[in-house]
Amino acid sequence: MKKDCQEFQQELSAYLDDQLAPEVKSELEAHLRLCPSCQQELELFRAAVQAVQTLPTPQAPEDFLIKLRRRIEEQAEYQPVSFWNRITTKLVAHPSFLAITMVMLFIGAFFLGRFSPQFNFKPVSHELEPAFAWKGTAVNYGWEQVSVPQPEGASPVMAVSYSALGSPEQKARRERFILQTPTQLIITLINQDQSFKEAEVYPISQGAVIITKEKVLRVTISNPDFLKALKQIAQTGLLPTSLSEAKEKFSLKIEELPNPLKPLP
Amino acid sequence: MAVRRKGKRKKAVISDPDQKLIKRFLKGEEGAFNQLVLNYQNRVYGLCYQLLGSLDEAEEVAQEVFLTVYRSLKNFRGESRFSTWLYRVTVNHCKNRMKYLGRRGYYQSDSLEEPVETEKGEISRQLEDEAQDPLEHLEQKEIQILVRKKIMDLDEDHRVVILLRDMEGLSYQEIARVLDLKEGTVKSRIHRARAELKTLLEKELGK
Repeated sequence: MKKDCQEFQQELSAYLDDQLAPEVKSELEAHLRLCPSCQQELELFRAAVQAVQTLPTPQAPEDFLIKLRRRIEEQAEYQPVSFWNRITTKLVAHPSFLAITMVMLFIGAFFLGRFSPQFNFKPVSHELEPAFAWKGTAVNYGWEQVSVPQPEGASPVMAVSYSALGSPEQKARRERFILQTPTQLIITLINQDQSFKEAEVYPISQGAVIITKEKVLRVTISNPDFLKALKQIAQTGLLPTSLSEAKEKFSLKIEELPNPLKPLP
Repeated sequence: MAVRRKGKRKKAVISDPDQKLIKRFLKGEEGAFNQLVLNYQNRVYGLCYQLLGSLDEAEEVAQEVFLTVYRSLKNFRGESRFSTWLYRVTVNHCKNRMKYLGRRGYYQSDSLEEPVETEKGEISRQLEDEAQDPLEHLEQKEIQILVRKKIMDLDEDHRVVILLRDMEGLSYQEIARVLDLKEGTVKSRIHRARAELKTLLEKELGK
């Protein structure tokens, strides 16, 4: 079937760009030689192409690269901020943010208090009140007022309450010692040691902490050792006069703790 | 028993004169990037101008193009030529800008009535350098203004292909890569774009 002019004209653009298959190209060229209207159409196409090809193109401004480098550096300085960061930054900066937060917290606290389960806190029984600082002669005061829970395994029978206990001087001073708990025993033993006269003594579970200017010591005794110690004291009626002696006799555990007042080596 | 060997397929390496500069840049040499910019700034800026019809817009978008290139060059795998990739980035930026400007009625306004003359006048200066008969010069200038106007009247896709082909001189194959189209589509689109421009010019000049 022979092509009509319209079909040939569809190929003009590709013909100008030399994009036609050889047989199609020669067929078109043969037609163009015979058809003036298609020839004219080809010339119009060619003119349109040349019009675009010959359009002057502006050169980039001279400072194009300088401006670009400046923008690259600006972007490197200011890293892009994520969407959420932008939102939160704006929110926090908003004047009403603080007020709204306070109101939300207040409402939250109200409902938390209203609907949270009720807890019945039982008072914790301490062996001794921590505020009770054990220092030197303070031993004579307040012992009886302190309610002391029995440690496990310590029978009341084994508790020692001798006014006659101690060294002859102590006996002469009619000092009374109540040794119902490991803590009481340890503190009494510390108070017997003259080298800790100036030290601060704090009760802890199973013993006490001694704070001197030089060091911090933790002195504790296990429950079985405590019972043995009570027996021994009851038998001899004597308290060791130094902590090192007491350590030997009653197998106390004495550890040096890091001193918070001294810098680390 | 037949053993099937998996043949390693070699990646087609496209010889690209810009590869050396890109490698140097990726190793941290900023000067290599500057050289790439200098090599391509006129082509990118010129294409932006022809697509957008404004020197100010062209400069802004061309800057954006190179900023994108600066950030994304590490992702450029060299599967196509650098110039092809650069044209793609440029065309995409310009299309986005055209949409933005189109929404603001930019192309309906009078600002593009005579784009070459009304802008910074760089083009008219270039033309003056060519020593020609003043009358012929004037006529040629008028024709150029008319052609520019008619290019701006073209459908966006037609404007892109006609500029890539007839102004930038890209092959059909390269245009297909830039626009991610089949070569056949490029061929027919170029034909329709030229036919449209021809008709527009005929109408204007046939008066």
